[in-house]
Amino acid sequence: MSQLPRYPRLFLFLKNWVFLPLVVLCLPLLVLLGQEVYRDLKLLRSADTDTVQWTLSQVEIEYLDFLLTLERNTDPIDSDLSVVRKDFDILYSRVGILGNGKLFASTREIAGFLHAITELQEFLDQTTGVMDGPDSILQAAIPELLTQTDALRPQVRSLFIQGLAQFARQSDDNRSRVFTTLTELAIVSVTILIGLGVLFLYSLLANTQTRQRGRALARANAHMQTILSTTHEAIIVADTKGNVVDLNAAAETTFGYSLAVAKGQSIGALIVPPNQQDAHRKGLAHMVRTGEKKFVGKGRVQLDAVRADGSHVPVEMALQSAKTEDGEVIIGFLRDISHQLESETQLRRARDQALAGEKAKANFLAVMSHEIRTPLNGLLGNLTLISKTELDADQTTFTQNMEISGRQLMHHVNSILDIAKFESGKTAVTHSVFHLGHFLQEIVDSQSGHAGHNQTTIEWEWLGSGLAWVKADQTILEQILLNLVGNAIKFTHAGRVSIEVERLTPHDGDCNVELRIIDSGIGISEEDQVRIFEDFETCDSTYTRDSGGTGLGLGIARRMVQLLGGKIGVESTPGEGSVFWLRLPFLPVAEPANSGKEEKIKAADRSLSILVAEDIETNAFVARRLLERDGHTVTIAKDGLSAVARARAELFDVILMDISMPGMDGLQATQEIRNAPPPFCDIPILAFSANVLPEQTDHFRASGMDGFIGKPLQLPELRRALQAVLEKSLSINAAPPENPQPDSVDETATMAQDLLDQSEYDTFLGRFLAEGDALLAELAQDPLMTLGLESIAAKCHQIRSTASLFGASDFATSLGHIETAAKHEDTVVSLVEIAKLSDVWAATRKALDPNRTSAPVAE
Amino acid sequence: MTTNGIFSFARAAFVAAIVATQGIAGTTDAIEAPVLEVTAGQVPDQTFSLSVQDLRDIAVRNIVTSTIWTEGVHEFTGVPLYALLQHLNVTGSTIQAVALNDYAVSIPLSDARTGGAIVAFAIDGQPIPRREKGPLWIIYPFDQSPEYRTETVYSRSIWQLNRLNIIE
Repeated sequence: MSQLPRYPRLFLFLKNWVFLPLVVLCLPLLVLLGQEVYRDLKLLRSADTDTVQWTLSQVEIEYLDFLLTLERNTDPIDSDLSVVRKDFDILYSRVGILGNGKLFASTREIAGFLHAITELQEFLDQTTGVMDGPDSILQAAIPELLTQTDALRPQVRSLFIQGLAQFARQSDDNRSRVFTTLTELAIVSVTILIGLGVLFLYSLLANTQTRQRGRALARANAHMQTILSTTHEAIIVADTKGNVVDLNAAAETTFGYSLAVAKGQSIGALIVPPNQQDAHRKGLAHMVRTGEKKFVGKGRVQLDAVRADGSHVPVEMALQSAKTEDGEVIIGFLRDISHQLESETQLRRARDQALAGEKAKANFLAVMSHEIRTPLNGLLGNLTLISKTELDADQTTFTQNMEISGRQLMHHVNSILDIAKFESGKTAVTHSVFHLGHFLQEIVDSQSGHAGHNQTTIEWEWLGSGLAWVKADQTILEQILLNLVGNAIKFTHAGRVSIEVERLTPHDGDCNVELRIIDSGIGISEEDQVRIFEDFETCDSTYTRDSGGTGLGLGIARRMVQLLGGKIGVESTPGEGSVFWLRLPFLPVAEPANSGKEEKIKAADRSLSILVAEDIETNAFVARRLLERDGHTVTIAKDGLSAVARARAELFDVILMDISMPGMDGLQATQEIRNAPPPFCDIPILAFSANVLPEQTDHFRASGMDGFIGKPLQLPELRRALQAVLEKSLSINAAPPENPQPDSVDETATMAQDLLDQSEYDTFLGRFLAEGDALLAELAQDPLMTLGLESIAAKCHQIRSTASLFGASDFATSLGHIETAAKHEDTVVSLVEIAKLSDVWAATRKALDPNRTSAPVAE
Repeated sequence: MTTNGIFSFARAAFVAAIVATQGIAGTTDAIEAPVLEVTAGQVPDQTFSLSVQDLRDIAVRNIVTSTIWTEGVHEFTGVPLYALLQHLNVTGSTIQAVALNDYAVSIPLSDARTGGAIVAFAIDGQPIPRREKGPLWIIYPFDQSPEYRTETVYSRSIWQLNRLNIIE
């Protein structure tokens, strides 16, 4: 509306700056000209030129009359002197007009005219004496007068001619002046006319625009009325005193008041619930007093309102203020949100139910799997026992079949457990630094026997330049690759499986490495390629039966790849083979300091007195042996309290403090020692724990510890830490030691064997195995009910450190998982890990079986 | 011509000195002498002959004005035209005014009204000599209004008036 089209803006400019000033300037001009014209007209009206001509011609006539009269009266006999006198007087009067009359004032300025009139007047004046004299003298003078009069003819003539010419000129001047004035008047009039015309046009245009605006306004008003009357939003207009001025149809239906009833009433009395009326009144009074509008223009607020029938309705309200002719008004927009609130409640309930259902499902899966695995383990164990009895050929075959079926069933249950774990969203990515080449070589090595069964070769290679040390989740990657490589081997007979690794340039998102598992197997049809990554999808029934599978393997692999932020896909030609490709992010890192061949760290230069706070006898024993072998003096404290007592009584060089101990734990004990009087409070304390999570080292430092040694104790780390104590350069060891090899029992690192003599070893091993058996037995009997998560975590922790001593790292890792999950009160993962534990324990137990253990390695 | 002129001038001065007394004696005669003849058409032989004194006896009115025939402003004294006609008790539609030289002009009777034309017989308190457009002169109040400064009115302002004919 305010934007005028382009040409009227120009018009407006012309109007304001050209036409209006023009007209305003022209008006006085017009008045001046009008006066001039009036004057001219007046002049014309009173023009005396005709009189002039008459007088001029009359001079000549009367001159001739006088001359004629003189001639006639020359003869004294019949002369009439009175006529002579009369004609003289007439001529005298006439010449007097020329000589003195106002009429001839301008003409007398002409020299010739003035000269002529002067001569004529002189003659007349000379003659008056004779004329007024006696008749005889006049009679006698007549001939002389006649001569003199006749001599004046040229003067009289020139008088007439010159006078006439002058008056002709004057009248020409007059005419041209009138003409000029009239022309000017015409020009000014035309200009004004044009200006007025333009102004008229402008006013027409402005009028049209005004009418258009009026129509637009009316339209907008009509629209607004329609909107107000049809919207579902209740709109109430009130004055600043809170009295209703207007409300729309929606407000009438929402609150049950008609406009007629509500008008002029206080809004508070109408729709504000009784318990909030006080607040409303105060708020309103505050607004009236200070002019400050708390809610106006501040968005929507949720309120409770009351209907005419007294029922409550939840509303969402927004306030706006507007200025009108009758003063300021407050416009309230209120929306009945009872439906909205109801659906929100329903949605929330539905969501809670769905979540509860999900959780119940996951719990059910975990529990069921566990419940299935336990008896299944029993079955398989007994099958093994049966197979060791004397059986005939058929029985052998049957038991073998049963064992195969049993193992397959176990595999399925394990897969379902993995899915359950993924679905619970509790699978965390743990990054570690490893050598990618070594890692792949190990995969290939571990699978080559399996491949050999199918007369298939397996190998891996880098295409292009490779990466050496990388940071990634080794465990998940291993699971993915084992799955894919396992599948490749399964579907390839007398063929070749190769793993190609290539750096991606450019990177695909975060992914910088592509791994391809290529086989020359049976291949996958195109329609199958799309669905094999779905859960419970297998390629074809015949084959599935042949090779066995839940159809969960690739589904799990896909989830794991996604978890790592990568991509997985397949390309295949049936009959020729398949390529499964993975694109994953690997962070290239420098070679870790302690990666290569372990440097030989020498024992400390001098003997130290060391306090070891450790509740588990085996661990304490091993630690004592290890330290004493390096020439240190060792004191053992079996719990936190006694550790504090010893540390306050005796000045040690260093204290190794276990973290989880009964009663007072390591952290509390450390604080107690730090509170002791000097010099006892300043003794270096090293945390000594199997908790190797990086974030915990910060916690240790905060508790007043100086360093950290992981469990199981490893000689190089221990020596390094003690060396640091001597050099007073202790610091928290940020990097926990790398996980040991994933063998069930690390033969090379069995510290216990190294440190203990045969009988001691047997004793501790026997104790460890018994503890393990007991734990497994306890965990098998519905552990959540009988033990509870906290107790499970504690038990796992206790056995874990001992397990490490005997090199049972798999078992220790599994225990660690259970411990972590239990501490986080994650029932599902705990159950899953507990379910897996029995297998691991079986393998560990087998490896550590004293009957198979050879004589201890000599020190 | 010049010799004639000087001679004439000397003689005229001489003559004038002689007749000076006669001129003064003739003044009373001039007032008593008839100067205006008025004829009314409706009565064929009715003719009025009026002297300046007769006119002065009817009514006197002064008009101070300039004219196009004289220089400066003068006081004219005369009898209003309407008073004259009323006095003579004549009616008609047009007044025909005639001068000594037989110049005649028609004056509508409407000009004979209060504040209108007068028949002047004195200028600045002195009788108007015939040589100075006297003895009678119809004067309108020219300076009073432009209406009186038109060609028509000027033509009606007849001087050396000696006869009025009232025409039906």
